[in-house]
Amino acid sequence: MEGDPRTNYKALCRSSTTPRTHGHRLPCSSSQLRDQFPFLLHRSGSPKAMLCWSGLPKDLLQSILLRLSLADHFRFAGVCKEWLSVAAQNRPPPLLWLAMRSRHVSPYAPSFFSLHEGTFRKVSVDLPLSQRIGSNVWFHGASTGWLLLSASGGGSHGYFLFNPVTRRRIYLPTEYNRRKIKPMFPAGFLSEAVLSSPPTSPDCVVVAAVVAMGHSSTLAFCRPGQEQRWTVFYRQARIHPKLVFCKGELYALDITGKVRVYTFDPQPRLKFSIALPVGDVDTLRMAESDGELLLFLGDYRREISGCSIYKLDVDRWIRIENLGDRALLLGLDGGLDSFSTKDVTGTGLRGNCIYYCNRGMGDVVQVFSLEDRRLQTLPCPDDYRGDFVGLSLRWYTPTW
Amino acid sequence: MMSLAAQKEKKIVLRSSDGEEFEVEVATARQSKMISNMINDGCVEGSIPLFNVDARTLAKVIEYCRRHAGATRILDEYDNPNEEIKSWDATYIDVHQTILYDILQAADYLEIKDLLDLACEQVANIIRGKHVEEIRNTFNIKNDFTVEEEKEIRKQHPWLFE
Repeated sequence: MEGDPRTNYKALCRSSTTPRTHGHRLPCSSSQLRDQFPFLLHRSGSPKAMLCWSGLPKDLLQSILLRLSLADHFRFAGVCKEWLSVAAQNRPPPLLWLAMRSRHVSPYAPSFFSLHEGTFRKVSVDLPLSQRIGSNVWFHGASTGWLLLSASGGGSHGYFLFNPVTRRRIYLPTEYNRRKIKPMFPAGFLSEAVLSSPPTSPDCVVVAAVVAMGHSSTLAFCRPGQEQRWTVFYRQARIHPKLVFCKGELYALDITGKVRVYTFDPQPRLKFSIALPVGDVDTLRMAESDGELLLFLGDYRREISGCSIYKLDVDRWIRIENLGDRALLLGLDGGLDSFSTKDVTGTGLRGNCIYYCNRGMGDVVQVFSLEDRRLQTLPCPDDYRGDFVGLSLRWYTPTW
Repeated sequence: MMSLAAQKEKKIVLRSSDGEEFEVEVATARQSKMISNMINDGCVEGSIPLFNVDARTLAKVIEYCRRHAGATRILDEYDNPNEEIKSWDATYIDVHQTILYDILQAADYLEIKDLLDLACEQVANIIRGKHVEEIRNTFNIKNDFTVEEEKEIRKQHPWLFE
């Protein structure tokens, strides 16, 4: 049994107790000038004695680190304890665009994009994904920095969670209703899955919508690494249910158009259910945003300005006209992600905006501002456009 | 505020940690925010002792400040984007790791933001694409993880070392 890599990193950071000799400007007594300008003093002994790259002041190490790519960031962390502690305090940028050429991963590795000052950049993750995880791999979603993939043929068979940063793989149970499940392509046996927390955390719950009987789907849960089978807890979800974890609680849309709210303690328990503010279930999307549940309703392809946003306030819906420094991203797969522009400085991403991929326009990314109600198309380099075909636009937060 | 011409003529003396004195133009010295603040506060009498910067590093830093003090004026007068200074910077910072280390520390201490950025970028350039072992060797960093910790990291993240 492998340990939790995050815990290990934390443990290693804690054990980094090398006394810090740099970055402190020691007081001095001798001359008047020195009293007036204490920063003129040595930070430590003679400059030659402190030639030690591992002991550079943390702010300098941070400034170097922030210039590195994702892969280099993680290599930086592995150099020594001091560098590790700096890397652990400065997690990689919280978002990357995850673009998939199609649901069928292989032979293409997922393409990651970031936005920098309003321009797309292909992010090099340096991960030969297709060589690593087999030849016939399908993508089903991304949650808490992990991808939900399924594979058939070869050594790997079934559904698993995959972390592209650490390359760690965690298999999900294969037993459902006393039967062995097999991934079915292309629809899949699991049509959607969400994680309450990264699967390396002991209290992680994976909730999946399982397609059954072709009419509705059931909701099942498991705890990766602890349980060998899926446990069904609700049978009347929609065929394409919307599942969201928000503050540890599961929000799931049922067949009658109500949102059911479950807590896990540790078994799933229905807390309450609430009707939607409008009846238009098919265009509904849900997302967690700053600890709030947000609803997005409307056909954005037809008329983005006619769409509406609500938030759940205890047990009623409140319409929102202004998202503040938050923005929404609509995925092609019916997903909705929310982010705060406070976390994405330097990207050119704007708050109070809705980002979405417009297939009719040739798969460009468009931005609708709730502020001035204007629609803009993001510049997308021509040589990247091919990668956007059939992409599933989601935020991806790298975790280790 | 003095005119630029007047600043150019006026000189101040910087003294390195090992006692060497450098006479520099005020405009050059003002590239350092720390020294600039001292000049503004009227605290510059005689030489300014810089306890953290040795003569070799100070000479190198002054070379940068002198070039950039000049560049600022050229930019003001002709407003042309300066490709020349960029290539000058690239040659300037292409130095051995030990000198780079000293420049980094001095730029931080003297608060010369552009030089600090240049040095950090150069360190990042050196790190890019290198494996953990290569980074350790390049910067002569001792691996201070215990055998067990190192083993654990290699097990969890084998690709860091590939």
